[in-house]
Amino acid sequence: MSQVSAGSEVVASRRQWLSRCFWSAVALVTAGIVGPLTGYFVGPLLRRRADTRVRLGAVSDFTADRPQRVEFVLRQRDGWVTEEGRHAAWVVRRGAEILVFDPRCTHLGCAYHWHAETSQFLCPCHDGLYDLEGRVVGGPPPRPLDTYAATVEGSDLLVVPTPRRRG
Amino acid sequence: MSARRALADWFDERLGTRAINQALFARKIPGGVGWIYTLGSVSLFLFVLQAATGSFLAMNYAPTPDHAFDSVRFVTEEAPMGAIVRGLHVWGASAMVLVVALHMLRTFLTGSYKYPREATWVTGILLLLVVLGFGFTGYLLPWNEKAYWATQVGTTIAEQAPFVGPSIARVLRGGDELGAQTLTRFYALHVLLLPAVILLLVGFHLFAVVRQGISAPPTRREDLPADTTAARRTVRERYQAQKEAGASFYPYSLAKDAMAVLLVFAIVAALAWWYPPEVGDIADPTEASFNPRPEWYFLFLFQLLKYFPGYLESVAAVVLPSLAVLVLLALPFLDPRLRRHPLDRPVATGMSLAAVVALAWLTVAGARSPQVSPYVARPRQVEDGMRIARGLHCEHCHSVRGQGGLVGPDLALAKSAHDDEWMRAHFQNPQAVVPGSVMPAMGLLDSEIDGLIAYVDELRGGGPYSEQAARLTRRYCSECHRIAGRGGDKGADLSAIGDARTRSFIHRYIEDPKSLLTNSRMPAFLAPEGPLTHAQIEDIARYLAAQRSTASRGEPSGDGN
Repeated sequence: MSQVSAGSEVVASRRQWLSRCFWSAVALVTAGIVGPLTGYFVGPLLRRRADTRVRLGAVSDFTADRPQRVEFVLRQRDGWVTEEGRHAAWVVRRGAEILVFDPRCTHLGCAYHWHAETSQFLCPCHDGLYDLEGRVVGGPPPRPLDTYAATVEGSDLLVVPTPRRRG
Repeated sequence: MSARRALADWFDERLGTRAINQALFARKIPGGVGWIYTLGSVSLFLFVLQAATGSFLAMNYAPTPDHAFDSVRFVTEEAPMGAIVRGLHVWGASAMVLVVALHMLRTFLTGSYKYPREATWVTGILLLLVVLGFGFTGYLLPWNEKAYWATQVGTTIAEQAPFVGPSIARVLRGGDELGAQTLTRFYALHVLLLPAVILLLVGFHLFAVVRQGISAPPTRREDLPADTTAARRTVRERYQAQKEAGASFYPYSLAKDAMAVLLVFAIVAALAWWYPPEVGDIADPTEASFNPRPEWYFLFLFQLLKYFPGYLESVAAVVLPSLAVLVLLALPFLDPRLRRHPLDRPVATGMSLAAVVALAWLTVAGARSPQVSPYVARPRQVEDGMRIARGLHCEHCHSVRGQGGLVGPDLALAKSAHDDEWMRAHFQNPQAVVPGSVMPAMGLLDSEIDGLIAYVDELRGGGPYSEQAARLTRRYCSECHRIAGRGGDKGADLSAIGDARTRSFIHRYIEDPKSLLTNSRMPAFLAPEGPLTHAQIEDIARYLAAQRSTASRGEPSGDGN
């Protein structure tokens, strides 16, 4: 009697041990596959785009307080493709400071233009209005115009055409 | 009643989970089923591994000749974890072919394909063919030299088939030539059609395995009635008894399977980690010096072709492999006897072992067969620069050794007195460096400029050489080689060697000629076997690469650059 129960205990513990082996192996292999795949999948979070600087022209090309729209060709890498695309920016020279705006309204991304009579940027979609420094003065835009990081090297104006939010 | 129990009841009531569990996991497995019986589970695991890694690789793959190579390179060299994911897929593919083949061999040796498991065997053979189809179509996708030439050979083998060969090859390639349509065709087969087919077959195969049960280990000289019907009944009854005496599939067999899976995964992961897959050189149909080699599991066929004269080639290429497949498919019907022990079937066992030895021997011989063409991987940056130059259409304004436009200087012959920094500044903004230059500023990325500089350097002969270079070359080379009319004639005239060979080729050739041309009689020059250091050989290689048939001859000035 006691022998039988001891035997069934051995069977039970062997069964338990094998179950543990099975689930441990499953866990290890799953982790070994899911780990790299997760890293690969969320890779875009880990990778930063290299910022390319573009020359927009000589500083002397721009008149103070008169916004100018500048078009430029940007060559940039998108994953495994190097693409050349036409882009634009608005350049405003305010004394020693130079502001470069992303050419899209912060409301819904329409292209705005400069209205010289009122000295305001006007977005044709929903009548968003910005002043010379890109601050919202009317309409639905939620925040001032986005800017590009601008630097002056020698006489050249260089920008990194990646929009940065203000305020 | 515990919550767990309630949950189990809930599912059982709706889905019949207890019956499914009983049929799949609590079913009894006959005793004595050892480690070699885990190969099927390992194959299934490898299929899951391939499907998982493949799905993710497809996120960064572009199946067109102009982007395929770059996208694979991006995955391998830039995407986080990309090298390991691709490594798992590449090594997993090899493991899959090996494990599936061993699984088939085990099934054959234990006679498990016999009654009542014929349908399982036939789907198994079809699965093996689909796995090879995956291997063949997947191999092309990286669009590198290996991929391109292996597929070139593979589709040409199909062309050897009597009567329909050329049509088969055309259908495989999607046209006359290996190109864009081949790549999309192989891609669609690899990621859409074959996965659907393999899922169906795996489903059928597993159903048959569960339905008939895993075969019990064969017994020697099994005693069976002479009458077929009676013998079959005996086989069924004995199996039933063995099964009932056995243990439950979970955990007794599954623990063993899981351990085998863990081991194989560890091996595949270790290979992926320590031997990451290579990117290679981009496929180039004009490259004549590449030695096409198929993936190792097709090497036997590649090697077999060498033993057949031209007019019999179709026998080796198509007839023999097709016959082998037909024999495998028909095997359970060709030999309906029920004794399963390998020693009770000496002919079948002997033939299968002979086939294994022959395949192994052909594979090893194929792997060892000398590479007849000297091939040096082109330096990566030079290659990049060449492709960028093509993309920018530099040849509209510049010529390379007389071919191309005449607006700018010839890129190969221009004795540029400029260093890399000057070149970089010039590429960034030509007018700033050369006022009045008509060359446009192209907004090139820094990495692109690096490539273009390397390319122009290679065109110029691979960079500046020292004043000693000419003297070194005369001292070590002119006993056998003639340069500009002076020197011996044991070797080739090197006066215009720069037209034919690049610096990298010349360098490696001087270091170890036999690594490139097995029948070369030239000694190796690299120390300690030879008299020259690495730097001296580089110097000579640059000097020789600058020896061209036209302008650069006769003005071997070097380090003033």
